[in-house]
Amino acid sequence: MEGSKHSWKAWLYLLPVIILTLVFTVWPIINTIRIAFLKDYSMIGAMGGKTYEFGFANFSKVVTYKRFTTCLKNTVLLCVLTVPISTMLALLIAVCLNAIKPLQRLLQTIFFLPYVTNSIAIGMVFAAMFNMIGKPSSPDSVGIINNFLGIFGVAPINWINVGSEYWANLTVMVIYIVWNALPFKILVLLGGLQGVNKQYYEAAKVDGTSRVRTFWRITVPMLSPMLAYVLITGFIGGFKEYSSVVGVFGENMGPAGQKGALNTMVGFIYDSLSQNNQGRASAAALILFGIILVVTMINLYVSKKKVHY
Amino acid sequence: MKVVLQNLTKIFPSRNKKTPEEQVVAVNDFTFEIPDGKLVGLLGPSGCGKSTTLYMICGLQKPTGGSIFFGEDDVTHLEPEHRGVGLVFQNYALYPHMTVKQNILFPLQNMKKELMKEVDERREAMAAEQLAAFNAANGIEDAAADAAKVPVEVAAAAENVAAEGITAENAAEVTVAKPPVFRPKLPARQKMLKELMLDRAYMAARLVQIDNLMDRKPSELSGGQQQRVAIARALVKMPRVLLLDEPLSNLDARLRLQTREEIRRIQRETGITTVFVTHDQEEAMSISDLIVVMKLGVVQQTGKPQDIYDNPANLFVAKFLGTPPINVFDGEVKNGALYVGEDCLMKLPGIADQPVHVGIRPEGFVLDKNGPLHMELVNVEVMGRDMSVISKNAAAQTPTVRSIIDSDLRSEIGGETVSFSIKPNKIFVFHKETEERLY
Ligand SMILES: Nc1ncnc2c1ncn2[C@@H]1O[C@H](COP(=O)(O)OP(=O)(O)OP(=O)(O)O)[C@@H](O)[C@H]1O
Ligand SMILES: [Mg+2]
Repeated sequence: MEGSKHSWKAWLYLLPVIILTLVFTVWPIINTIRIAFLKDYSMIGAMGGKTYEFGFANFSKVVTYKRFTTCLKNTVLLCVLTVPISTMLALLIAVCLNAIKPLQRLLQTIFFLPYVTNSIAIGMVFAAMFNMIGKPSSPDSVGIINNFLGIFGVAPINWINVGSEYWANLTVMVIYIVWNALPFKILVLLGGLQGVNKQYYEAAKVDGTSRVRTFWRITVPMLSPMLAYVLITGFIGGFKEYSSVVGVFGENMGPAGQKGALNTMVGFIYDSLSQNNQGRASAAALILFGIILVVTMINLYVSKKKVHY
Repeated sequence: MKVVLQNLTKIFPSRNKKTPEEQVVAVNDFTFEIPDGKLVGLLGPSGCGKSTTLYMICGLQKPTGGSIFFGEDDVTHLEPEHRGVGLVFQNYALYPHMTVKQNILFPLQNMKKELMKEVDERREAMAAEQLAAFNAANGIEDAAADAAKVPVEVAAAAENVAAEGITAENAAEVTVAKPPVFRPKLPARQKMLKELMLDRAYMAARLVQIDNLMDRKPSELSGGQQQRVAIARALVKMPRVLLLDEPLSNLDARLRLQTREEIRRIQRETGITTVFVTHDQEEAMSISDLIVVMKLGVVQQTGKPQDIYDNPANLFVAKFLGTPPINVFDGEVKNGALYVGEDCLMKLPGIADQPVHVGIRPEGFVLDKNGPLHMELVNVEVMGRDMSVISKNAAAQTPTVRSIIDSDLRSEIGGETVSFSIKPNKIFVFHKETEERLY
């Protein structure tokens, strides 16, 4: 066959990529799986010639850790809260943006700004805004959010400082993550909206369709591929949440005095690595992988039924 | 219902504020009355403002000036959803994610309120019938009178089939006639509404013969089937006015012929006032009661198709109507006679001497050895009953001139030249500059 004569050339061109993928993707995955089943594996120990017992010890240890269950709970909560909220908000904003003509470009740019800003930096700004103390020099002053709420007669809330409560911490995180996730989703959905033939809307209008019905019966189905994409990537990203917590709470991963109160799965893996317990980290990573896999499969299954391509 | 367009004008402003003269006058001072129940063909070349006119009638575009009346109502500023029009788009605009059935049901679901009224009326009628039958069966006197004034409450009380259906009136009867109690047996309102909508959807679908395709998606239909779905969707709400924007443009020649007959049939059956946009003059002539010929936003002529064909108002209309098209010559009026080249075709008293356009319909040529018009023979195409005689003349504005002649006369043709006399009702004379009709 003509193709096979030249196929060695194709392989040659692909070689660099294949090598890089093997070294930096495939091997680490295999190694992670291997290490996950080696009890209390540590690289330093392994280099010292130590051997490790094979089995599920890492997994059973990880799942019984209280710290791990906290991380799992935080991750799932953040995911379940932020993905639907941000998707719905993004859809709403995209539809509104699409409906207006003047200032559309300007607003589009403004909504896109968070996307090009460093998330740690944004997190620090959020931390400042939600702070209990406004100016260190005047002990009575509060942060901008509490100031704002004060207008409506709401007493200052301890959002993120020492002794703050879990729900307050979580609220801040949800607001931050939603805000951070919006631009990308708006961009994708707006792109989808602009691709919808205006005549469908004109036809609906001539037929006397109400706005709400037009939205649910025409806009949403027409956008369903984009919505599915945004939801699936949103859930995957949500389970990998980490830097947002670092941004708001710093490496403490929680308010002062409650270290790790808002830690996430990825945070747990980092912590294990920094404690030189690669075995535990690998097991946690595999669990996270499993969760993401299952959720994505469910997402794909649902979207196959609901999405109109 | 008649539709009146009064001085309708649509101007699309220039994109660039610095060059306001670049504005597009898509429709210019359009005045026309579409009589009730007629099919009107809106005809003109591409970009002449046909779609824009249609969109103004349905309300998707607001006129820059002028007004639109449906019957006696001024609808100029009414939103499209309140106009009660059905529109078939140039490219159908079927909702791709819905089945044919859902597409046709869609407009009905928007008018649930009105349909519910119909349901309630039916329920009342059914209740009345049942009451009459009940009274008759139980030998209750004055049954007819009772049945005639079955109160609305009967329907309301019968909301649930199982509910006790005793109303004030038959409660009184119950006390008199004792045992049997009247209970109207009626299906639930929502169920009846659903059935009513389905009935109407299937009725519309049968009208355009797509009732066997109801569960397909638009992408699984041929162009002609999609078009019929679009018509069904427009018809199902029983619009006051039906608007069709080049509905046949995507179809092949045979289907086009078939579908235009179908549109004609549907329009006749429903009696809905219809506006049909096309740039195909044959299509417009064959199915319209009236046609409107447009050019660059300006109405050129309105009237019955045959009248316009026989009496074009100007050169544009004469050229636009008719296949094969009219033959146009450079001519001259001199001393009360019409000349084409050296040939004097006819006397034209009362018209000042001037250069003119002379239009002669292909069927206006008569073979005549002594005829006044001399042509150089190029070719003869015999096609059954008729033949096309293709000839040349220096004064003709086209390289060749086509005339249609009875093919029985073909033996009379031969040699280098051919001579014609002209039927006087098939020749038109137009002003050289204004192109208005002179004769
Ligand atoms: N939204 C618009 N903005 C500016 N100009 C427009 C707009 N819509 C239409 N036009 C112009 O108005 C004129 C009439 O357009 P219209 O769509 O009514 O033509 P048409 O007769 O339907 O043509 P076709 O047979 O090609 O469909 C055209 O010159 C077109 O360029
Ligand atoms: Mg058009």
